[in-house]
Amino acid sequence: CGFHLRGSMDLPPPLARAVVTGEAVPVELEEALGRALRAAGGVLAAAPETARARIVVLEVRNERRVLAVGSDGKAREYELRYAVRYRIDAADGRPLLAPQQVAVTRDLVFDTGDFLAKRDEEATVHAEMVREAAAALLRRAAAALR
Amino acid sequence: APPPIELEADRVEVDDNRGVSVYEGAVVVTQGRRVVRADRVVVRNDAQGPARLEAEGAPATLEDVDAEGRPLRGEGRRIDYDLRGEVVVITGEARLRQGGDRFRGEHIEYRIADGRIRAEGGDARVHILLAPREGATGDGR
Amino acid sequence: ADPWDLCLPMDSGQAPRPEPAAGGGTRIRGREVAGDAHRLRARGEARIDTPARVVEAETLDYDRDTGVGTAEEGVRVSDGDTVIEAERARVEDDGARGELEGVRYRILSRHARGGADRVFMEDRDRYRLLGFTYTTCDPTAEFWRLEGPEVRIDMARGSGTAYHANLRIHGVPVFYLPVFSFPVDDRRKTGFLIPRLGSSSETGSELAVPWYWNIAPQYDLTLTPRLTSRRGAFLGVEARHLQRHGAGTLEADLVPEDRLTGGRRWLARWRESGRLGARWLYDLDAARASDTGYFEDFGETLAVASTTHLEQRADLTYAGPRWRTRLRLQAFQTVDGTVAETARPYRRLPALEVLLRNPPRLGPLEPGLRLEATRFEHDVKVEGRRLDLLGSLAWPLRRPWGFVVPRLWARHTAYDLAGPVTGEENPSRSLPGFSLDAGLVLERQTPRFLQTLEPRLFYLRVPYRDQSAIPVFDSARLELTFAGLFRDNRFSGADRVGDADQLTLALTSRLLDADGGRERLRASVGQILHFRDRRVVLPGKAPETAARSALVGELTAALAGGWRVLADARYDTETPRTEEANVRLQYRPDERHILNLAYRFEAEASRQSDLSFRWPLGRRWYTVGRWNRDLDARQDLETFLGLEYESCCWMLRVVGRRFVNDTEGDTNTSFYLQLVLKGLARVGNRLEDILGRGILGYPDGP
Repeated sequence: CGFHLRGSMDLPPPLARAVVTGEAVPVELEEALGRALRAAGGVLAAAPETARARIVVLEVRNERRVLAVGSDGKAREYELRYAVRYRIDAADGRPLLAPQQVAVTRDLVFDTGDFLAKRDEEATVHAEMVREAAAALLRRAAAALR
Repeated sequence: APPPIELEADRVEVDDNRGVSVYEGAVVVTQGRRVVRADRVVVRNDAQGPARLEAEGAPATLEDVDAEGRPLRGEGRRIDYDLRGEVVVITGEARLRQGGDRFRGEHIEYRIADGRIRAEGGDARVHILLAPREGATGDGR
Repeated sequence: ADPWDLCLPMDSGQAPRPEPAAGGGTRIRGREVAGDAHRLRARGEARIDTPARVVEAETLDYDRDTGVGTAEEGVRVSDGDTVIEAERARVEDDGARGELEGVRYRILSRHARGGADRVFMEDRDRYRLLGFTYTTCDPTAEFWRLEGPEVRIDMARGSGTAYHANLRIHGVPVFYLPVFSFPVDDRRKTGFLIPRLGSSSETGSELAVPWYWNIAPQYDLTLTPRLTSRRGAFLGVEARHLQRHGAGTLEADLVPEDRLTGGRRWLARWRESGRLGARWLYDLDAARASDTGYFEDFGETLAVASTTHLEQRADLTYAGPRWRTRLRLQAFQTVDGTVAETARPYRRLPALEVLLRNPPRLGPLEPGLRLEATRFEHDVKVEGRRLDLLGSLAWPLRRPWGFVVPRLWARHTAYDLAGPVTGEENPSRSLPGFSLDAGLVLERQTPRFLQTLEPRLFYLRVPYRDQSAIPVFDSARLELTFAGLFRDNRFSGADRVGDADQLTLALTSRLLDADGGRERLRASVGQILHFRDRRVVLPGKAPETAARSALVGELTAALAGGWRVLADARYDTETPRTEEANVRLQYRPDERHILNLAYRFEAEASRQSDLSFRWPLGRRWYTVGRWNRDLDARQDLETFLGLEYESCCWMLRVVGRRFVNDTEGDTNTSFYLQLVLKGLARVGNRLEDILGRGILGYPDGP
């Protein structure tokens, strides 16, 4: 049916050695991007000068909306949305990829059983969303820069 | 009295009884530190000597130093220099550079004694670029 | 969308931009210019261009030594955005400062205009207008106008402050405002509220008079006294600061004396986050209310009314090159009367987490290390300190077409309990674990998309350890989602590590745009095969014996024409029955049309439908609405319907709304009226939160 193993996913040259910059880049996003880069065969440059591309994080939005309410008026389900607006510049500052956004949405059931455990579950789900956003950002960048 | 005038040119025609002499070809008129260069200069004399120069060139140029010691450079298709009134009139794509300032127009009058300038734009407008003042912050903060 | 697209185009032709001479000098033009090195007079279409502004007039005088320019009749001063026509003008310091009389002005980027007897240009960005008028309406249809003796406009900070101002609607004075600040750009999305009349069955009719104080470029304060008929006086406080290293807000609602209950009641939330140097980060979010009933009595919007716990949390993080260390203080205030004492969450005072951040590569192996030391406090339940150590070693083999990641880990957790301890005082647990994560990536090019097929398997083996002696501080059964199929512990926290001998089989397919790699559609499905019963459970729960987990599916799609689908479901293949299903459909062909349809089902828990829309009727009218119904209880949870009329410089919103706001299912019925003076302020109830929360995608308006 036409499917074949993916050929080369090796990152386009600039992304093979990138660095994450931006106003206030959240720690977990920087780590997730580092992991995603390593998983795709690239590396997160230690010093910005040695990087061949700069992933410039413009804005990170953490949104939490009440999705469903129980018959007692209490929130039963939240929608978590994690959105990253970014652009990619070459080492000399030349823009390689115009500003764009990746967003990940997850629903989280919130029965008020154990609120502390729910907050931890939310943290686990949030970490998974950050990882998925990093992977999507890299996949989009690799496809666009190829 | 203003310093004497020396003239060099390829050719000269002198008409004594009308007191007019016409210099042509790479004409250089020097009066102290003031120098006029032109293709053709008509000198009109009165009792005391040369009273008026009419220089034409593509362009005719004037180099001088103004009353405050700043370099002065004018050019235009025609430069008329009235030695008695000490007024220079530049016409025809006239340009005048006084220190850092630049004047552009069709007709520029410059009075050597007090440095007063008057420029007219003809059908276009006069265009003047003044060097930034010292101490001008430009945004008032 | 341009908020001014319903207005007549503003002629920007006469807003010349300054074209100073090179190096910031002054450029002068005119039919005739006369003067000397010190003073010049330009006549005939005269124009001076300084770095700050352009001054045009019939006659212009310019003093080179002082940089002062003066002009008579027919003067225009412009910086390319703010254009001022005046009878007389005196401009200093090369256009940076100045004074103009008999003025008409326009601010193109703000679609604002008006007049003034006198205008003082205090610097490049700040103007003071005496005897002013200000509006964003078209000249031919001036719906509202602000006028008064004085207004100060600061273009850099994007705000204007009017003193003793009168707001006129259709020429009729409607409000007198002693001090009133308004946004002069869209940086302040919320804009400012001016006196607000509204009603709700909780507080009765109310009048709010907000007062905004721009203390300094980095600080501002908004105080909103509110007089309500049923509850007495309120004071709303919002203090914000924004610096290079960090930002913070303090919000509070104070009720000195609640007429209904007689007590002093308040709700406050302080948020603060930022960096101290390159590696230290702090993040604080602490909310607290005076009493548990606060939200049910005062919660204006559904979401606020349904908060059950308020969190007080403070984090200090050091992000080192190799390690990330975080110190956290965390406590909660339960504001839902129905939550039993024993169900109230523990406090973490403190919790220290040390995580290996950039693991060094040991040849092909990748180590992982995480340490957490926490002290748990509770009013009634057992308390104690816990040390949790997790070390792991992975051998990731990655190729473009697939990956295999075996991972071995060991975990040791020890406790020191106090208070009402039933069993041992120092229980502990040590156990190894193994997981194998493997997957392939297959691709095929279809005419419009690149389609991928990504089979993935995840084997997890964790031996059983009796953990019944271990208290439950922060562990709970994690809800099974698609991502949950690949977790190595089915419990959150560290008090329970689930025994496991299971294999997850999953398949994901994506449709990616050929050019940009944008994901148009992603569908995933997966299931866990259990080879052993799961004996580690939370107290009071039975071991899980199902041979297979529920089948878990997820679908997200962004299709052409503005359709978006978000769906997930869990289908129990054993019984068989659907455990949980969630479908959300959004139709947004363009900025003006929004339609959301949602269905949420959870077995034995709830079945809900949710319809919301913002639909235009012609170019100026919109209907907005939401119908959120609990299908089991056959009860409407939130219903609102409203109309919006939008014109060039104003918008009127009328919304009727009913929502459930407390445990007995009582409802709160309210009628909201809001007049938005575009670019100036909002008069009436705060509808943005209600509409924004109710309708996914509702634009946060002008």
